[in-house]
Amino acid sequence: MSEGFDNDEMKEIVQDFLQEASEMLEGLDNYFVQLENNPEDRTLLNEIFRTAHSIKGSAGFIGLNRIVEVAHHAENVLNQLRTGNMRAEPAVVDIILESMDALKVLVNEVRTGEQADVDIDGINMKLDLLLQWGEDTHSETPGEEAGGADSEMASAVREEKVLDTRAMPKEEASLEESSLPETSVVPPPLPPPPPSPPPVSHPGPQVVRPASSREEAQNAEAGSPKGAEGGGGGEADQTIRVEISRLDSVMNLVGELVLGRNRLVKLSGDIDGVTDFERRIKEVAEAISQLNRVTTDLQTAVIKTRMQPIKKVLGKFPRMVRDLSRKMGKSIRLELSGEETELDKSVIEEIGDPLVHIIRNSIDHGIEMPDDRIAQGKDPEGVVRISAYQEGNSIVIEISDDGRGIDAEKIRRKAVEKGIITEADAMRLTDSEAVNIIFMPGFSTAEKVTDVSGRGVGMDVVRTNINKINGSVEISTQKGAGSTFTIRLPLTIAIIQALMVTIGPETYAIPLASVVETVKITEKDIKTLSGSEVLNLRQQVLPLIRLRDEFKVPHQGDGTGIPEGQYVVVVQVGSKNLGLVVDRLPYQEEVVIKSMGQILSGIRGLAGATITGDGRVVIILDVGEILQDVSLRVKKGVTSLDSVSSERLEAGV
Amino acid sequence: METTGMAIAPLGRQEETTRELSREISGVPGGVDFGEGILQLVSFRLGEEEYALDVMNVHEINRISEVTRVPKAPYFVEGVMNLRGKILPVINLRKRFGFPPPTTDPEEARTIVVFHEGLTVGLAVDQVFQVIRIGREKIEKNEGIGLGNVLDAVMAGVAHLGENLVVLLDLPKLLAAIQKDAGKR
Repeated sequence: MSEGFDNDEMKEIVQDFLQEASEMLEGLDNYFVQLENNPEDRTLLNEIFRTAHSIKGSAGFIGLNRIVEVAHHAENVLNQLRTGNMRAEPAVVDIILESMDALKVLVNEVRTGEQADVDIDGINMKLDLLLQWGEDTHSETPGEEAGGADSEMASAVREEKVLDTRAMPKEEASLEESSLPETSVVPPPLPPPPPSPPPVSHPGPQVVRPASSREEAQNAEAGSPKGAEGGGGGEADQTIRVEISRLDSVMNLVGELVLGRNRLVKLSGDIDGVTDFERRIKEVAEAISQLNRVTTDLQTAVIKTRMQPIKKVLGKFPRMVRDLSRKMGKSIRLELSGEETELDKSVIEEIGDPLVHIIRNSIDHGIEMPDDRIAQGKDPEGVVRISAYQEGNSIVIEISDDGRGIDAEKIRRKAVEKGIITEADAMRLTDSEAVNIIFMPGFSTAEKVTDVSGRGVGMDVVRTNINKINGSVEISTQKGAGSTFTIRLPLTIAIIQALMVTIGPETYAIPLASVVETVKITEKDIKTLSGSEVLNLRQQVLPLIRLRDEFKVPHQGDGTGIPEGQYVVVVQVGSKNLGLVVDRLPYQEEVVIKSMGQILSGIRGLAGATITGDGRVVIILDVGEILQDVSLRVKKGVTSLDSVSSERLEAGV
Repeated sequence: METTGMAIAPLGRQEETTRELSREISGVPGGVDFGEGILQLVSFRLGEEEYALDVMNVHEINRISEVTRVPKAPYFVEGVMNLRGKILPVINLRKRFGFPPPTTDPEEARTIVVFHEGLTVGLAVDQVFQVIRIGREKIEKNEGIGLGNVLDAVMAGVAHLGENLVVLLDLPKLLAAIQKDAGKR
């Protein structure tokens, strides 16, 4: 690249550009969706134009010519929109959005360093045609001049317009000159420009500057893929933007931590000559309690640096909903609330796909065609509502639609046909239990199911993905009135509250989020039902699993080794309950989940391990997987277990 | 920082210096190079037999501290232990090779922490002897001398040390075999 930059600087610049451009393009998507609803919104139009121009400017600066080209053509059309020469009709917006998509692909191309297959010429041509068409219609209906724009803007526009129309055939010239009115956007980056022939009508340094940057860019064209590769390498080490104020609070707390340490060091250092030991012990205790407070705060502060608003995920949905509903001829309004709700970065990354699945489902199968809706006395415009909020230690995301809802009866029938449940089971299931069958693996694998029940593609994937981040998903529905998916996610996935349980000599940790209650029982409370052990808990049959047997915990020497009283930890994932039989519940602890490494990562039922305060390693259970395995075992089990499975289903398993 | 009292055997310190040395000499991190020069091996005991690993793959040698059993883990996994805040899987080499349970003093038992291509595991052995410096020409490259399939697949050769025979293990192969079996579940 240019001599003024060493490789690292360039990498950094490219990185910054990538981040900025991605954010801007996402922003643009939403602006356009808004624009469609308010085609006359000048402020919005100006904002759009400015954003597009910035992308073009910074792309030009680092010599990403393909991006500049598309952005430039799009900008021409945007300018027409801005000046009121063209209206933001859906057809127009479609084409502009297409060009935005192309830009996204091109930006991504820089990130990965692989040449993407984008038909730049095709898109440019479409945009140009649009321009032509816009001008034609405009010339037929003149007089609607850019009235509202302020004078500076107006002059800029006039200048640009003149240039555009004149220079249009010669793309290059237009490219240089249209950057003119806002040269300041293009940073003056380069050493004295090589003497390039200045464009005819505008001599002077102002013109030379963007021209030279372009020149440089062209010269550097061969070098640019290398820069791109640098960007690609950067993807591995992800970055996160953190508000300075949050880092400041971490710094402050670290300062306090150091003070606390110094105090302890001092207290432990000069023991000689201490006569009042009681007082000394009190001082040490004070210092420790201060450290305790500071580390707790520090933990919260560090977690906060990883938190990001859920807007980052929800941001792409207005565009998606718009495209999908247009494609299907439906009219759908997307309502978002609680976009500022914050989630851990890793949760944010995992939650995108499941949400896309659910929203697609709502649009595809939930919301009816406008005519049908009118026939049912509904507003022809359907509504999909996404709201996020915090509830205690979890984040709740609700996705609801006012569509046709899910027919529990059909689900029952299908599930019986697929052999997931028996006829008898089906009769016993409540409607809400039946509807949640769509999350069962196996239910959704066949396409046919979708056609009949209206829902189900990949719903087990949705649940699996959400369970993976210790979350849960449930669905509630009312026939004819719509359905609501409720996703519950932990605030952070690295640190969780865990209930410690012991079985014989071993200790395990159960994530507290999935624990409903604990019950003290004696051996005679455990009943068997067709060979499976259950507990009658407040008139509900709760299936039990003895962790001692499940984990083959070695028996201790002294006889049975099983203590007199035992405890049942009632866990719940989704709508299923299960009782885990353990010996003791010594305490709760906040634990940091650590991976057990490649060799041990695939064991079902284990989420990882943690190191407790006394330095021991304790295994953390994956309650979701244990539940899944148990219900699979019941399903696959011998025929004699069938009747039990119905009991279990009745108990809400 | 560490409260578990995970003592590092005297060998641990010695190993630091020898490693530097061996890097100059052999310079082969993975596998075993049978070319010229001196090879440095960590030798250890399993049952009545002596085995060895290239010192280049050995990170440290620890007393066996508290190991937590992992339910449903492959039979040869002893469990996991706390290695300065990281979870370290411990492989029981006896069980891996199908040897009978130990009869000797557990005080001598050690965990050899080895690493290769991003994978770090502890290998539980009965006793660690010493770091051997041995000429490469003294190692008989022998990949299958009928010691049983499990062992044949992971041995690199046999070193003759006076009266003793030392089986030299090929760590990359050993780890690959372990990973493969762990994935089979």
